[in-house]
Amino acid sequence: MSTAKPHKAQRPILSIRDLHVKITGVAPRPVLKGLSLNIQRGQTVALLGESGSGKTLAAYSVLNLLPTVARITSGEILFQQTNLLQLSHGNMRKILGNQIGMVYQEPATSLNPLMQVGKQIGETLRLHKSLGRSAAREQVLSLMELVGVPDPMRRYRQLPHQLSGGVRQRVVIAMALACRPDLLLADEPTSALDSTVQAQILDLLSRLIQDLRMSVFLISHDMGVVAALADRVAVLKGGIVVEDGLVRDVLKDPAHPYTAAMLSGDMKGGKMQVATSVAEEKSTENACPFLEDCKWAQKACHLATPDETMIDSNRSVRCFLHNKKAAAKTVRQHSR
Amino acid sequence: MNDTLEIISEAVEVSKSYSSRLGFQTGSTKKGLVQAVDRASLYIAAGESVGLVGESGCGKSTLGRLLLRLETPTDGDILFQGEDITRIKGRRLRRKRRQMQMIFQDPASSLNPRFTVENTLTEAITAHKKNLRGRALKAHIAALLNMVGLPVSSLDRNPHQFSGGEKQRIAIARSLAVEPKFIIADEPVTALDLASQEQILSLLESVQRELKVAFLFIVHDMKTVRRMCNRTAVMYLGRIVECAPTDLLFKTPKHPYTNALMLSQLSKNPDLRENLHLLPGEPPSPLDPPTGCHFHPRCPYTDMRCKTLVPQPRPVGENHWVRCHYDFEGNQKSAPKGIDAPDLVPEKKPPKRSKLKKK
Repeated sequence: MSTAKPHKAQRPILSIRDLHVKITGVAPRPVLKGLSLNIQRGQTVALLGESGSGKTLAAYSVLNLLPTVARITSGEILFQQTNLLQLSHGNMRKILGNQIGMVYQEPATSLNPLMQVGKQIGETLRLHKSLGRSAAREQVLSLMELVGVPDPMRRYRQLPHQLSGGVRQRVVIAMALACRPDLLLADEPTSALDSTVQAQILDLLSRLIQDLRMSVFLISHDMGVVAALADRVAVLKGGIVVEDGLVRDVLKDPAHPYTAAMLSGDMKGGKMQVATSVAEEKSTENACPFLEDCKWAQKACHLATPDETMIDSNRSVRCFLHNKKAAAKTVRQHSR
Repeated sequence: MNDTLEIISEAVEVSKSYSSRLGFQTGSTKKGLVQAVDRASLYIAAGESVGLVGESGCGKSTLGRLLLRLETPTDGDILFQGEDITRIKGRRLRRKRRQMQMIFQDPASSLNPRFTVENTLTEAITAHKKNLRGRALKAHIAALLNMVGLPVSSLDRNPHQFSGGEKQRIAIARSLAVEPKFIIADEPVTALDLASQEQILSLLESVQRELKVAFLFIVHDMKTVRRMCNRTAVMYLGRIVECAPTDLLFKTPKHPYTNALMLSQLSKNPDLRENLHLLPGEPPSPLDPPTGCHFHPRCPYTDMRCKTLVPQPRPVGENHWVRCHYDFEGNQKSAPKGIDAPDLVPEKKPPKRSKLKKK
């Protein structure tokens, strides 16, 4: 919501600090190289990135559900001042589904196919709130009504395959909201849905976010979804946040060339647009992640990725275009 | 329709139904009939690219498969270059198939993982052009790779060594191997990320420009249609509800469903988020389709006629026809004028109710 202004004094509900995640195994490589992100209470923050940018790994790091091939090498994830990365398995279970609710991309696979959907929603309540069977059932029915499942009494007893994609996703949302979590984590909540159903679910989510004053961590590759739901957006490229600011600012006037390219849909594998003299320069490991496709690439971009530059009180970007001094300094350092 | 137009592929009032058991839980053995495609007519002319859009499960892929005769229609005819191919099979069908090809959604599963690129392309070429061998074959393959923008060095690599976009290039090269006249691309970029989507679409554009192949794009994304297609057909629950030149369809959609589809496209402008247009209700089940117009339970302008009568295709402009009883003005919310329905008396239920309350 635009009404919830981030107060400087208030601590963020979720704070990811300098998170490094590595894929181990046959071809080890770093995926997240120092991701930092803050979510203030009542704010919806989107992490925007293409497939393979590591945005889902970031989400799963928060949930401590990383696949075995991925490992967090350093960083902190603070949820209400506790570092989730240091919690025991048991303590983590108390938080997941209770204080942090999750909505996954594919409703068909995130539901148990052999369990009545009403019971699935109620399971969370019974576990975390120790509700009895009938009390849980009552709450489930009101939850189903809240998320707009038509005819809740009948739907309660149905199995996931009997529901359409849209209703299934509503059920998943009801499950995520069952314990009134402080933070909702939504990983591509609508990308598996058709456009008319997507519009319905987005409308539902934005109403719920407003009514329940939720804090949301939204993961998406779709700028339309981000524009429809989020207050802030962090653009992920090559494992780092290259631009971070209010949705209104970032999507209307992108500061990073990558964001601009995504917005205009001008992603013609821009290698050909790069002047050859620049492209031939040897790039180091620290080079800017968007280097290869950037029209504006300069010498410094091959040598290092700049730190965040605040171009506004509320907005940061990691690009030498916005920090010419740093660019010059980097070149000087490396030429020595 | 222009008489000089050479029509490559055509479906004439085709229907396809599948039988399905009504539910394994209940143990019912009663057979239900799913009408996947319901009397759909569509033609694709030489060198044209036609879009087929609709929500998942509306039967658009089935219609595509019917056009290629990968499925046999339960009713209606399939023509290829004017020849009826509805019932042919065996060698005659195979001979026709040389001229039509398909590009599938997921290149990872439509390519044989154990075949190198060379194997894949050789198989496609020799299946249809048996006499090509040795140097001529090599040259043909090199030309194909060049066309789709892959280096010759990729010949002895397997699919898993390529990125998603590159795999789709291989699949495109394979479909071009037999020099087809007609290609169906079934969601060709849905499985790819943004940058590769763009590249594959421009590749398909150039293929179409240079080889003059007729294309049918089966997609659910209006953006792709707008970019790639001359003409677009919109499908809803087995029926083609509207078909028009793409510009016209976007400018003046005549079917309320087309209109809803357009309005449900998300804007990248956060200031417009309040404008999110909502189509009420869920897509109905094809096992139990609504009576009359399939769209009537979700249509803002429904009346008795829509509930009972199945609308027939009727022309509303040049090359533009729609399956709706009414005319709409503009592309925003507007009421039906009902020019075609002078006999229609609109129901006046709401006023009656308010009268009752007053009493």
